[in-house]
Amino acid sequence: MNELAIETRDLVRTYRIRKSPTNPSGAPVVALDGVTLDIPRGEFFGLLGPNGAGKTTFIKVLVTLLLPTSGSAHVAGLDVVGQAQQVRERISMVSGGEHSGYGLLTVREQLWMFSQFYGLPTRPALARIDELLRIVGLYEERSRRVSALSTGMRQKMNMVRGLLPDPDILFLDEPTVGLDVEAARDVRAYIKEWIHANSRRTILLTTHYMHEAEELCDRVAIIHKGRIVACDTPAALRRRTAGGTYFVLTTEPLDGIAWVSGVPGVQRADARVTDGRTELRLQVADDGAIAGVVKALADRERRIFSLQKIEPSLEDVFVQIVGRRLEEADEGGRP
Amino acid sequence: MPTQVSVRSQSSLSRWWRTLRVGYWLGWQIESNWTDPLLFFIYSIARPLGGVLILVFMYHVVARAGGAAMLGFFVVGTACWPFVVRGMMGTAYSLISDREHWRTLRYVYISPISLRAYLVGRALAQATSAVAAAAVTLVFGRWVLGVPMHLATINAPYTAAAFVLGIGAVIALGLIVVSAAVLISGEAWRMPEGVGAALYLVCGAIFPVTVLPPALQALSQAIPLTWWLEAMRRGLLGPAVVRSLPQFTDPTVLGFLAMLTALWVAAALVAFTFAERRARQLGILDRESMY
Amino acid sequence: MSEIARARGLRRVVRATLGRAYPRIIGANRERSWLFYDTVLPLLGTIAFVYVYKALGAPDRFVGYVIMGGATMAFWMNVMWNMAAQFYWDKQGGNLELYMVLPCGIVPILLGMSIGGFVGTLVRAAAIIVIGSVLFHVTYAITQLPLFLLIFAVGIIALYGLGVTFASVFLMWGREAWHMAELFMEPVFLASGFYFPVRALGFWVGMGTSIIPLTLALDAMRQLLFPGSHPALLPVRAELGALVGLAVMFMLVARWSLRKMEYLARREGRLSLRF
Ligand SMILES: Nc1ncnc2c1ncn2[C@@H]1O[C@H](COP(=O)(O)OP(=O)(O)O)[C@@H](O)[C@H]1O
Ligand SMILES: [Mg+2]
Repeated sequence: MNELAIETRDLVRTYRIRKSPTNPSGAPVVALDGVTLDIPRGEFFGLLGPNGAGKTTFIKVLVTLLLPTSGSAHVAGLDVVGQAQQVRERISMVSGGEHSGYGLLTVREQLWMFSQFYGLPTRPALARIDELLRIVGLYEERSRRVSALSTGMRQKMNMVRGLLPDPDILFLDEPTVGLDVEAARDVRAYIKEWIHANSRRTILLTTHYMHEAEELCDRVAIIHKGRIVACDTPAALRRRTAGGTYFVLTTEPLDGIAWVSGVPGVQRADARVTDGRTELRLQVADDGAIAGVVKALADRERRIFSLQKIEPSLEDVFVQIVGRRLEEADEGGRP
Repeated sequence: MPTQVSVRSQSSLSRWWRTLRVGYWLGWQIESNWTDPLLFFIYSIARPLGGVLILVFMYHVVARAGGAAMLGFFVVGTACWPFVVRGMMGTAYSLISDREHWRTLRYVYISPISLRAYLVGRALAQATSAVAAAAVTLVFGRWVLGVPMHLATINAPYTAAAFVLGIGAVIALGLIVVSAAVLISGEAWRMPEGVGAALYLVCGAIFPVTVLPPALQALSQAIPLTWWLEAMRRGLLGPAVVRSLPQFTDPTVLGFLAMLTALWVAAALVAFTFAERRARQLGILDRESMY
Repeated sequence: MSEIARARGLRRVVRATLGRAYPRIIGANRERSWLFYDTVLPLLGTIAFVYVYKALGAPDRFVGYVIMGGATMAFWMNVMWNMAAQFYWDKQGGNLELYMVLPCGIVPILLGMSIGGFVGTLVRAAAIIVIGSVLFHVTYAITQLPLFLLIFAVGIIALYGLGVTFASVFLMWGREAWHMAELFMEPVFLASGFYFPVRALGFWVGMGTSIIPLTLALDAMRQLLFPGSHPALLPVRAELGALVGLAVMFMLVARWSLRKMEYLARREGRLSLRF
């Protein structure tokens, strides 16, 4: 079997749209603008980007819902255009906030129905459904009608539906959107466990929550306006950020800070005075250098109130690469 | 300086009137898509004429001597029925969709207006949208089917009085159905349709109630719509018309229509007051059923 | 999680079909009030038309026409409101996207929808016939039962084939779909002769409206129910032949329109409302 679960080359997808006041020219929207990506089997891969970046479009091309405009995409070594049927045997998908299902059915019936579409024999399918329902904490709800479920419960049910056929490659499109904190944590915990239980499993997850990508993913690609602008492990992405790690140290007022830069290993020092305290922001060559600063302050008989090590988050990475904050981008991104 | 507009200072009648106009205006905005050519064709031409023609062919396959008077009976019944469908079912649907689709019912409810006036306005707007279908049916009946409806023989004042009373009865009925719809959720969408089908059967919409079994005939005489359709036929068609209530004279029919309409309006106001209070007790005024 | 062997091929098609039929049969009967309305509404309409014939002084045979028309109407309503509009609802709910990427393909989904809808409607139609016949003392003497059932079966296949076609067409029409289903009410009851022999429309008009599969099915069944007295459009066997042709044609058109829909959806990305 191919070692690459997902492989795209210069993938482009545009949408033709009607002329409208917001788009007077009627020019096509470029949702994916030349995406080239390799995702090896067994990887938990995250696609991070604001609304409208092209995440859903990317997933839809890979799950055979959309044809690429140009370029190529392979899933499990199979071409999504020419071998769509074989691709469908190996995948499943869960999108956040979807309302799928028939309200009249019970949770268990709804899931059984889907198991039949994958050709699973009824008895083992029901056993697996019960097992999965227990795991996501929906077992008590198994005989309730789908129409009576809360958003969070519905989403958990959809997650079970996605896992039911035991796919090789699982596509999760913002699966925790609209979930409360606890439910989102449950879902994250389980998918993490699921992928590690079997080495043939691969997950492609899209999200616009930084912490989710950071917590779950082996590698993360940042997508912006249909282009991959960065792709690496979360740690490497963080390290890449200029400014890197720094320390914040608050102390009794200092007369001047010129001497701080003289401490061996300190690359840069800025100070701010608030509430009669001085806040030093220190960039150091290595963490050990901070000891010199502490010692120098003790020599000057200045008390230290706090010392904090600040590491860049994916958020910082994003800001640096894309030039604005995700939340701001969100507002403009919605059509 | 901002002008002071005090709603409370207005007399309650003018407030009622204002609310009714707002309801009408809103209903009209929502319903006015019936002027879209496709929708006009579907709802004001194809469906009503399809309905009339079914009856016409049923008449032709039986073709008995002396049956020609039935054509006029069919045409007036089919022309008037859209007012019932719109005014009654349409009003119920507009409440249910205010509640469950637009989710505005709660805001209308807590605003300082009369919900009744608002609903009556909506119902009138619905009824207005039935005018086109009625006109198309009558024109078709007169000029294509040759139903004897002549300006000379139409009793205009009688017809106009019957029409106004009939619309009043339809709206009273609408308010009663709405009262029921306020209290139920799951089947709220289907219930008005069921009531409509039952009325179609007992009110002499397409056949004289004289062929119904005696129990149903008695029931039909308690419903103002039966009298309304009868009065409309007597007003629009000549004396040769087939009668649903042959034992009564023209003025008696109009009198019964007026009396029953007044009764039903009173019943509707009581029913609505009750339903509103009950719904508030149960906290279901802004409930959404889960479909 | 232990491994479960998936069925492929025909066994999966059967499983998937039954899976999709399940909510149609069980689920629909679960909502008691719907069961009630789905039976009582056509019944009330049917009775109203029976009384029209009574008022016209028609022979009893015509009461039988109307009751058959009422039962047929239950199927037509099922096809229009549940089959044709179903994809539209499935799209709104997000089911359709899931269906489009199923390994079993979309055919078992449609088969399941049709079979489930048919079985559910059969019960309602039977109720209408039984209640209507008891109320108005109508008795039927079917002369050639196997032929009668064959005509019914072929008519139903053609009808649900038309339903599948409409499902994709309605989907592409989007919001107008609702209104289209309304358009296909009275005008179709008229054109297919739900309440009177279609021959009354005139021979050539009747031939034209035979494109609606119910027209010929009703006419052929009426010939077998009222031999001698029913004014036939064509001989029974010719009508059966034409129905088989219609069934095949609608299956092909359905297949073509499904492909077209799938292709359009994937190329234009117009299937999903939400993104
Ligand atoms: N069916 C469609 N028709 C037209 N434009 C679309 C369609 N789907 C997505 N788009 C546009 O493509 C871009 C990417 O959308 P999407 O892939 O949904 O982004 P994301 O999932 O990252 O929020 C957006 O600008 C969006 O408006
Ligand atoms: Mg998205």
